[in-house]
Amino acid sequence: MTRMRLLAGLVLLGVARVAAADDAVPFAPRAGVAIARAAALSWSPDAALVWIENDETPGPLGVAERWSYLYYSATTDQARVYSVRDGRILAAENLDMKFDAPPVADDWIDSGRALTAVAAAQGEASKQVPRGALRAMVLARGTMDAAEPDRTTWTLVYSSPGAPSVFVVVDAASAKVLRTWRG
Amino acid sequence: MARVTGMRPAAIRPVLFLLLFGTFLAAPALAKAPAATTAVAPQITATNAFDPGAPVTEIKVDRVRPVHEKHPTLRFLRENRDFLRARLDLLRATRSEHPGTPDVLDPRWLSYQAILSGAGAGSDSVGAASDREARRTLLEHIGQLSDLEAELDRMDRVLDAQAGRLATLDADFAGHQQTALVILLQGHPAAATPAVLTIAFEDSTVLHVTLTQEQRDALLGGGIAELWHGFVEPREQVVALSVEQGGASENGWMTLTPARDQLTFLRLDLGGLGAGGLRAGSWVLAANTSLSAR
Repeated sequence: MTRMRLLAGLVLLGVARVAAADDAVPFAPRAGVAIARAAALSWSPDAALVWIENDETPGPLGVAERWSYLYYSATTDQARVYSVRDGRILAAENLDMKFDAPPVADDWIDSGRALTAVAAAQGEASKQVPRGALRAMVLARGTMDAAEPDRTTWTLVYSSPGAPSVFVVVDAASAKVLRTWRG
Repeated sequence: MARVTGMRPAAIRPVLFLLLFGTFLAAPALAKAPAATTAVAPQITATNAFDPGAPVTEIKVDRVRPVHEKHPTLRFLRENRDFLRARLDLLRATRSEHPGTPDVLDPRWLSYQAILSGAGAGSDSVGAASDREARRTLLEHIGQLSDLEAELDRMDRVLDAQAGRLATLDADFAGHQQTALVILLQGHPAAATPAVLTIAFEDSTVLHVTLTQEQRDALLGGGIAELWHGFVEPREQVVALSVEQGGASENGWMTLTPARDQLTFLRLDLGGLGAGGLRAGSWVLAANTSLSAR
């Protein structure tokens, strides 16, 4: 019996160690731009960053274990995504669809500040919407704010079971909440 | 092709290193062939030209393609692709109606024109000075020696200015090493050296390398062939190698991670072909060279 307990303990210890080794350190997306950009410029000299999205669930501080960086090349009319985790590119692939999005502005706020802005806006009754769990954070330009297509925005997507998702759009330059809707 | 076999290694070392670094510093000329099949002609040179000078890491050559876990990316974008595509179409239509503002021009591009003009003027003045110097030599008037000295001083200043221009270009280009890979080939199997090699990258770029009889003889004599030099992504990736020999092909897959913003060498050794299999090694070159005017 004692041997069985010892064996079970060793197995559990091994499983815990493997799990710890797989755990990546969550980071804000700005920290992964440099490595993604280095790869994108090797792929195409005119590659421009057009989209950032979390690949793992974002935490309460707007950090995630993995982020995707999508680059578009006008000369080849192709887009290529780099998924970054722990400061390394975990995956790279060409996007299997045409996505000639405009490049995001250079001075975008990081995801944590966008999340703080959304939390602060909850105090304003007009923008108060019951939300669910934060599922996605997307940085893009021209696609989420039709009124100001040149504006780079963060879009935060909240979801809850049995209810439509809640979308909150934040100006990535001023950290101002622009729109909130359910859809 | 620069074949240098037959010279003493010690004598050719400085020349080869100069040629080698000259090639590396010409980074803007490099281009990663995007997802294409390319025929390349290898460059043969002496073995010591590619002396690593750094620890060589042995690369395991797998006999079967390694399988990597698939990591899903861009879930939100893919789930909403139709909506996003429609928004981009709308955005494009809006922009075509209202032309956008021009992009800001990088001031360095303007400064390069000034650099070219300065270099041209410097060459002209040096050329004119040479003509004047020739005439003065004919006259052999001692009183004009001071003028000659002044001309030499002026040429010195032109050289200084040229050094400044080269330093500017060095900072903008050679000083910013992008992630790059050089694939080298060495060794020869017990049987005949293969005539054709195929190298495939993960992004579907395929290189077909044909070795001439002269190049195979050079490999037999201990030379090294540079098969490819281009930009690569700084991430773990698999490079596939296929060697045709005697109607059969031997395949190998190498997993390597080129260091970011550095030049990585991948050396393929055909010595074990047909016996123990292909061998490979890699090392990183510390790019700390700079241009000089003199």
